[in-house]
Amino acid sequence: MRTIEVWPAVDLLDGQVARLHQGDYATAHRYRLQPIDAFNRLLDHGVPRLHLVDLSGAESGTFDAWSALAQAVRLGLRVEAGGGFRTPEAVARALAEGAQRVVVGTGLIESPAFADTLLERFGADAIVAAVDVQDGRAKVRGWTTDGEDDAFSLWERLYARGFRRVNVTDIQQDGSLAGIREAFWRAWSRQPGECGAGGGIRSPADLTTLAELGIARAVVGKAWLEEEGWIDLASLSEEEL
Amino acid sequence: MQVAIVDYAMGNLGSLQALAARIAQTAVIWRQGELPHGTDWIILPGVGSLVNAVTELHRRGLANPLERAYRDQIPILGICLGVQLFFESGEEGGHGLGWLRGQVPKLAAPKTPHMGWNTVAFRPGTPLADQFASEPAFYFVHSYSVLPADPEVIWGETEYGQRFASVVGQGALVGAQFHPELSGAQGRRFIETFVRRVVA
Repeated sequence: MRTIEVWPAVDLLDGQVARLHQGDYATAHRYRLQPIDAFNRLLDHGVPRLHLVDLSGAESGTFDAWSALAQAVRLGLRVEAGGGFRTPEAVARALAEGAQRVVVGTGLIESPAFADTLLERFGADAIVAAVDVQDGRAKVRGWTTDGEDDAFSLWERLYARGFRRVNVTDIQQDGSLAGIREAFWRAWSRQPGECGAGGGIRSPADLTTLAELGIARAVVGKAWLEEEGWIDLASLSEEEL
Repeated sequence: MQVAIVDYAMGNLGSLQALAARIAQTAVIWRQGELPHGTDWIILPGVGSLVNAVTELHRRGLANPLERAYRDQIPILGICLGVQLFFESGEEGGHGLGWLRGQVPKLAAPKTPHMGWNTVAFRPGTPLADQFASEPAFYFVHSYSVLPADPEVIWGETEYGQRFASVVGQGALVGAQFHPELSGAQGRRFIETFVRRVVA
């Protein structure tokens, strides 16, 4: 059986745990849960990984969830941090403060020089390219702006530069708990490198499907945060963890 | 050569592993118990404060083997919190491993953490100095710095609010307050020079 690593997501909007629906900031749902309680919940369930996104940072261009990042690292979570990393200095700070990897989207897409600097200074292991896809195209700046690119050719170019990990988000499904689109992920599974999937994942069956397609990682948002959580973290098998 | 990177849940090791691979070192992660077989040198990394660091080393059974490695003069490179651990005690009640005499006070600067690129003036005549005569810049993130009792162990100094020891060394023990693994080409050269001069 093929396995998939689950990365539960905590998205922060002005420091509060929140989820967007299809990337729309206007309809953000804010949770009462404090970030630290969310982190502890992951540890309680034996899932020592966290996909931490600063939604405010993604929009403004400056990651600002430093205290949440430090808290998560102190608790012992492996953290990938994203949202607003547009300078090498910000990436360096996140890695220095204990993030395992930094997720970079807009910056990579808008500046090849920035992309090369990140590879040269931090190596391909420390950086995850975020490719957020709507209607086959990559979106940037917290999904508020269209990129110029067909998403596949964008990733192929980043791969050719030296990137090896990509996190793809299916915006159409994201925050919807609508389940995954298998054809979408089948196409991504044929791309080079190690692909992580996000957007609409709602059930263990979705995870199994993704694993069978050869997707390496799954970013799960609403499905673990909601009270009536569709994906019960405790129920995930060892292989998925 | 093989480098063991100490993992005591004080930050991320990926960048260090990547750098080790780039300079042709075999990196193994040392999480618990005895020093991995075949280890030529050790990286003691870390972020955060001294307060829990030694406790965590003990909890993982790493403290005693690390002490033996130090006594056996296996080269140890301390980075950031790692170099602070070489010393005796910190300001907020935390204590270090006590290999070098001195304290770890908070930086006397208007704004902490000290974060970003800053230059290091290497003290002439110390083992790494001739490679870094131009006072290159390295990447820092820290709020505390080491204050050695013996000025002889200071191999490099940096200015931020105050003058502080940014590189220290004694025998096979070398520490940097900056992050060589996040300092690009100069950081790589720092570790390469350490390997050539101290390890080999």
